[in-house]
Amino acid sequence: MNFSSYYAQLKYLAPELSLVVFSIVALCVHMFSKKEANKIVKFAAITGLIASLIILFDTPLSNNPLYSGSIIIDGFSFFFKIIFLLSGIMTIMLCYRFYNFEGSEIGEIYYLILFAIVGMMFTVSSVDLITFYVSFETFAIISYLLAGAFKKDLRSAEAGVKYFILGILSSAIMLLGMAFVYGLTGETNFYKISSALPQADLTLALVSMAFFFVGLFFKIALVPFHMWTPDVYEGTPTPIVVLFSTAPKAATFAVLARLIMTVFSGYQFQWSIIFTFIAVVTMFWGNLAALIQNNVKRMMAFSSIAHAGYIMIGFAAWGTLSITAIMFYLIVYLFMNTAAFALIILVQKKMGFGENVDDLKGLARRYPMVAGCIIVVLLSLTGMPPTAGFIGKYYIFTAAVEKGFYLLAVAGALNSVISLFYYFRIGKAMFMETGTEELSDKNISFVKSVIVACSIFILYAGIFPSKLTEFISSIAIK
Amino acid sequence: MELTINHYLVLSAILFSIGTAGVLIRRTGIVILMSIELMLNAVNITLVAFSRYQQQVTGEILVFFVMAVAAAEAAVGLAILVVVYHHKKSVDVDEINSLRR
Amino acid sequence: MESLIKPAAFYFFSAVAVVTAIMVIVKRNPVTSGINLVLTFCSISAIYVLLNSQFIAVIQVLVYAGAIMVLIIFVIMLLNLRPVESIMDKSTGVRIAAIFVFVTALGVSLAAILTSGGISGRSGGITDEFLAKTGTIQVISRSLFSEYLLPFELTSLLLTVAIIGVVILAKGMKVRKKTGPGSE
Repeated sequence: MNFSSYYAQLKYLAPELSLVVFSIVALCVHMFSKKEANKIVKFAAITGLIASLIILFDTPLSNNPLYSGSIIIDGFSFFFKIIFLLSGIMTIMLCYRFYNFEGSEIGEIYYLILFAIVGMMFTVSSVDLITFYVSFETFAIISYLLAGAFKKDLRSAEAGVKYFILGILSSAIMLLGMAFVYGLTGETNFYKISSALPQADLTLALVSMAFFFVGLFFKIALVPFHMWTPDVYEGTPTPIVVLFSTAPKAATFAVLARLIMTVFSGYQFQWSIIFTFIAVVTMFWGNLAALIQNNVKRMMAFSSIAHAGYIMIGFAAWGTLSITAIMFYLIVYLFMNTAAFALIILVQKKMGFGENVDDLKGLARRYPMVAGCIIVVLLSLTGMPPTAGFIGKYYIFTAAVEKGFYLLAVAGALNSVISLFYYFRIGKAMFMETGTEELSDKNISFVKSVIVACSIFILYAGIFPSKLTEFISSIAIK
Repeated sequence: MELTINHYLVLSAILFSIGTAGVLIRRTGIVILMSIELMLNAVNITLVAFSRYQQQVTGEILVFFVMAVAAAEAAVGLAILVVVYHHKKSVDVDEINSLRR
Repeated sequence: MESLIKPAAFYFFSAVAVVTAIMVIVKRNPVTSGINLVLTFCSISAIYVLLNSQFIAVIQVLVYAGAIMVLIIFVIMLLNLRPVESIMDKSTGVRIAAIFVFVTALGVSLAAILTSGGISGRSGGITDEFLAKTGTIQVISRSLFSEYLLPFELTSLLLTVAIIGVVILAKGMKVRKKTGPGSE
């Protein structure tokens, strides 16, 4: 093995390294400045994310593993890094209004967000159990912290505890799975495991696969590992929920894709059954539970569970078509979900009030443009044309039908109909006559621009999906 | 009498299950944290056993990283528990219910 | 005689580990649980020595029994936690589920391990004789700083994050005298 090339390989890590540098700079500035410290840190964080996004497009890709087989910087990981950086940028933009409104802003969360994104970027690139474990735990631990960091609100601390305990429990179970995968093959590299695992004992391999998936399913919040989601989403500050509900989920889906392509590639029959079952249960549970929620944040939590269920259809019907479909759906989901949570931030009043469906009343009269954009987003979440949500679901269901999973596609379509009812409630409330209370207009421009940008993307990708699809299939995992 | 790898794996499985049971039945946050540390230790035994019986050190390196992660988790978890304690004067996870069910 | 020492030591330390582990989860006083956990960690460390992995045995005592447990016991003292009246106060459903999960997990893993046709991994060639000549630390560190350099550097990120996190959670926490449960 050639270790002297480690320096030369640094150029592949440029986006990650620039983010680390920016967060360390932000950390130092934050320590030494007194006035306006939070503002500077926020600005530094958002600059760092944009800089990293620009550098990312200039970074060479390589299909060979780097650093003695620890990571791979391929097109697949490139795509997910775009998702994380966009999610981070939008999260910090939404923080402006939220914390000006609620007060008790902690500047540290911005560089924690940056570190979390670095962790996720390494997670999607990792092709080694050890690198995967360390980077996965890095962003997991930051998630627990960010959930509990809004200290003036008891709900935040409780969300932190709940997330922490269930999170480390599931990661301990995942670690047991990893230990057995290592033990059965004697390798930690995904590719080497993939060629060695078929010789191992079948029962033990399947048990270790099941344990491994528990940790991943927990992070994605798939039924029956979803118990934490509504509580954590409700207790956590809303901009952080934007990050939670998009980036770590996308990262975990990417890891799942990598694992079933390499480590568990010999067990397609078995994991396909698991994924089918999980997809159906998750979709129905998420959508039916969302129907009875009055709190918009909890409703969106269940809605995000349901969307993870749709994506699992793609995993059950794994193939070239479904990979493209999953990647398309994930980037669309990023924009849909961000816009929906931005709406909650727009109407939020202090300390968790203003999260009910009734608080949306009169929004259309006050912000007609925002209301129009939200209608686009809601149509997309339901999966109606001409939005990107429709195209995403269409691709996923087509992939399922192509592989013969007809019932799965039917279940997905049925769930889209169920979801119509609760998304319709949000839309109806916005266009109701009167709003009861005045909303503050403070720092509203960022929230508005996020919502508008998201809905423009959704419409564009819905009407002209071919460009995005071509881009995705050119870089999809082979 | 020869010690085989199964001896170590069975010990690890027993400790792991005890830890899981602790997480599920206890309600004091700190004892739950201790139970999870116990689970991680059980996994470490598995890793070291696999590593030594295959005449490698990779598993021991993974144990090294697990210990780093466990230390970070313990610090963060205890800090979160202290914050909850300041709000509620209790670390009982059953009382963590101000979030609507 | 020689061949009996290792199995005897294994069974002794395993028994201590299992018994103290059970004590951890059934004792009502968190401090007792903590002390029992220290004993568990020390006997696990002895198991590592039996596996000829002295480096892990040492850092097991240093990191787990030394650092993590001290931290946990310190927090127990800081919060002045009293013994709970009963260890199982959760609703019956949860308790039944717990026992069910416990029995299933134990059963499945034991069955899987015992029925498996042995471990079929590759041999790395680092035999006990080789270790006796070079020492575990040298072998581990050589691998750690070459093949696994990247995750090692990532650990620095992880620990930085943990430090920042603990600081933001602990910072500015005022000690309030009279606060009822759940009050703001």
